[in-house]
Amino acid sequence: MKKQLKVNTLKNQAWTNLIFGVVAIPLYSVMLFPNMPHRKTLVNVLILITFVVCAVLFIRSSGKKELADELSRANMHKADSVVVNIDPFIILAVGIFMHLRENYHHVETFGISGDNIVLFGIILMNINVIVKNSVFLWLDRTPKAYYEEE
Amino acid sequence: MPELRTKLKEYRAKLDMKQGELADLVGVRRETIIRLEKGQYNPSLKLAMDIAKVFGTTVEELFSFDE
Repeated sequence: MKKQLKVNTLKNQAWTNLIFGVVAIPLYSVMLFPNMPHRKTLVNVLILITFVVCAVLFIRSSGKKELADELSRANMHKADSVVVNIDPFIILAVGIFMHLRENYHHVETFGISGDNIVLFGIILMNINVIVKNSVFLWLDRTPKAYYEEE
Repeated sequence: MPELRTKLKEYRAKLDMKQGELADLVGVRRETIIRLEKGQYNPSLKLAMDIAKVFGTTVEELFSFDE
């Protein structure tokens, strides 16, 4: 008898992306600060955690992927529009944070390298993944009263 | 804004059909059928027609708007 593949639901896929985003942000954030104490150990620990999480997610997400239907596509579009509106605020918040740091350390300017911009871009992308999938999961939640029919 | 009213639940009950079964028949997820029954989602014309076809009725009979 042919073994039936477990279906990887859209909610599961969204959770997978969300967890990956949550794990990736601290990893890249630590890389942004070269003078952080115990940075090397922290990076190694974070890489190990990322590897374990990726392995678990890979095993969990194997199987036939559930395709998006019209409601989930509409919810995904709404989630995308939230992400687009949130991005400028994140950039603004980072700018304010840097300004406060300048004031705290009494320096006029900070040097920003290409690496910093790349890492910031990666962190921003991961924030987008987290926000998008969180909003999607919120919009796509099943009303409690309807579970009884299963 | 006019509110969507549906008779999906009644028609489903008549055929003793579960939400998941209807969802499989029209090629959507169960969540979509739940939202439709609660009047929280306006279906596309295609989905409305597919559902009407399953129940052997018309779109107008299944879906209406409270003005």
